[in-house]
Amino acid sequence: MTPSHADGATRLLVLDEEQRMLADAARDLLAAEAPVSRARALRDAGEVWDASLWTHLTDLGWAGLMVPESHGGMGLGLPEAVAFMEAVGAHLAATPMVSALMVGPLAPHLGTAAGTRVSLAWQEDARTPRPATLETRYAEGRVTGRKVLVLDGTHAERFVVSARDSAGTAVLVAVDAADTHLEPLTRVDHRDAAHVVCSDAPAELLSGGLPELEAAVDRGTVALAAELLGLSEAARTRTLDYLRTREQFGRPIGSFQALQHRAVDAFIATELARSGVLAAAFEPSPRATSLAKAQATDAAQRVAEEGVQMHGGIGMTDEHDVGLYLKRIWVAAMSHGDASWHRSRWARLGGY
Amino acid sequence: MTSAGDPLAPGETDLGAFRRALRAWLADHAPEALRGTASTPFQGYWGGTTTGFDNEAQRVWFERCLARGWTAPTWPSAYGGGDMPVAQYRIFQEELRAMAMPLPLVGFGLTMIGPILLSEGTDAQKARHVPAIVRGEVRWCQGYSEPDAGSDLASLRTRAVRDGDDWVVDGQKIWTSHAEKSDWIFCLVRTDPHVKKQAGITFLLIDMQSPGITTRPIELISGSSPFCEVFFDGVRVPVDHTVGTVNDGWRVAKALLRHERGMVGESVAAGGARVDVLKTYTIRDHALEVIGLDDQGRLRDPLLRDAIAASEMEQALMRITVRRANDAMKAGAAPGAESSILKVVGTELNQRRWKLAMRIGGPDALGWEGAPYSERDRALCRQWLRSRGNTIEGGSSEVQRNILARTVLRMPK
Repeated sequence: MTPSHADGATRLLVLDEEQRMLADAARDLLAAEAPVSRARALRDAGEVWDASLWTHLTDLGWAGLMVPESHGGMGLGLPEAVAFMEAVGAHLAATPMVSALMVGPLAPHLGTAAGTRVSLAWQEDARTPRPATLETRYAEGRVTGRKVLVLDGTHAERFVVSARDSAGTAVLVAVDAADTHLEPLTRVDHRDAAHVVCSDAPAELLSGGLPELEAAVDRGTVALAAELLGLSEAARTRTLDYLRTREQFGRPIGSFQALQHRAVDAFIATELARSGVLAAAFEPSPRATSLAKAQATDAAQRVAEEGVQMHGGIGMTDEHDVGLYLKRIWVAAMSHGDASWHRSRWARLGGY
Repeated sequence: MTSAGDPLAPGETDLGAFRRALRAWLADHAPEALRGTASTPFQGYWGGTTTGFDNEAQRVWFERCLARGWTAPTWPSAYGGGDMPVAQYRIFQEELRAMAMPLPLVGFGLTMIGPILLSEGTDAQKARHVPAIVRGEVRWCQGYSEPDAGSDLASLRTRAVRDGDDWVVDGQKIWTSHAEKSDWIFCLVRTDPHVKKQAGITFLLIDMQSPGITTRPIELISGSSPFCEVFFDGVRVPVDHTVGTVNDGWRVAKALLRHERGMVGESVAAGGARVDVLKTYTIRDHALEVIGLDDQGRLRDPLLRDAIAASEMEQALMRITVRRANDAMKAGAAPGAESSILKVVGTELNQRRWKLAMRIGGPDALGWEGAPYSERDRALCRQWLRSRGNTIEGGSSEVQRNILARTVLRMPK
């Protein structure tokens, strides 16, 4: 469905005044509370998430960005969510926002208090990020199965778990984290992720099935695409600054055409990613979601690699931030399907 | 022309009312035979003295629009235009596109020299040339590139030397589209060889009937083309055919170049095929036809499947980016960074698309002429060859990247 304006034109693919103010507020908040130096400090301290930032996000309402207003949330949509996620990516904020956006609209079924950390445990095959690939069983208030790569898994208080009931129908159930077994993952981005095992765990049946699950996963995919866009823009900006100031052979290296043209290609890839993310946010559909994720992934990986290369030796050091972007980009890139997965999904949806 | 309360009048500020009235007008006045026929902004009636209308419907459509000033909708009514405000004009374009109706009039008079004359021309130049463009009486071509002045256009050497009330022009232009069908040419010529190259250029209007002008068509790797070489041998041009002041031609031309680059990128992305048999061609359907699906419902060749998806996806991203650029303008913002990439992206993805079409076609796509090659496959091959030029014409991809690096990314010199 394409929303229409009074004059009969389709909706503009541009953030309106209110959405821009919201995005500015998100950027300001994260710049103050979650500078990149904080992401580094958390990693060095062995912390996989930023507890105090989450408190801020809860107090200010951002944690409930997509929770309906009737349940104490902001009741906002994907355009606002992607604006927020772009800021999360730009600042490398270690916060469970992708999970919050996936489960936010399910809040009326969950009945949890604002600020409760809920993660969606949906994926079962690490290489096949399809919600319908589902072996976990639910029967008579108990759930059994193994979920992989659950984002924000080790610090979640509850999980929304996808399963099949005894008739084989996909269902959603809520499980307390205390009733699960966690296998925490230490990945290159040092953020929170875990495999989650439910063995006859007490489970509360929620309303909703495969369509709600697929919508939630696609929301997360668009959120990840927006995070990748923010990561790309920030890494690109740093690299351009370096090209302007770093001198070799008596001139700024940004004056060399070989680097200029590659910087332009990274810029083009990022602009196309922005187009994809905006379209997926304003006019969501499975195809638009895959378009956004594939391009955001390709663009971010290109930006990250060029970022390290163009920084030269310093780019290879842990001391420089560009490496943090490279690592975070790869985790977001491979979450919810990489670029070739989403091209394949696009093809499937297109009947080939 | 318009009565008070006419929602199609230029003064109508209710854009919804304008759109509704325009739809009703189009329902009555757009000839059935032309609906659904336009796939690029270059299709339609070109005007001029050398070629007529393609068909009766084209003539009817042209004359109905002319009566309202809609062959040049945004131009002043004093010159036969429609006085249409920009907001209305966007709706006009959207509604024509929605019906795939061709514009009533196309060509370089309308898109290039007309706007330049309206802003830079003398009253006499405007009175002589602008109404003739609006009425489709004169067809124009552009004389910029030269054999030794391509990407480095400012190094052009076609010379104009003052002799009494005339310039005398000697030299050669190349890549002049439709020169042999054009009545007039607008040219950049060297009027001062002793100053910085950009500072010695003048913008001239030249009648193609002038003694001393000859044209020669250019054959491309894809076959015949609209491009020509134009030779000037002692051509006398009255000095009052100078646009702007002497030696100020580079400034006059630069505004036009930007316009041209945007047009090339957008038009190739809009579909790109200028051959009838390829208008409904898609790489997906071609692949389904010649390669087919496996028992999982996937294209049999997994590498082609990935490449086809990638191509469809970049085309979708290009369309969204064009929409973003237009939407930003509608929302009242200046064109953003996104609009600056359209030429590079549009042309390069078009090349990848036709190259992919060749991969799908395989040996069947290599036919140049005759049996056993199908009309579609032969056209596809020509289109692929022609697309190689997309990244050269209208400012090469390399020049575009130089410009983007400096102006958008602010890279140092």
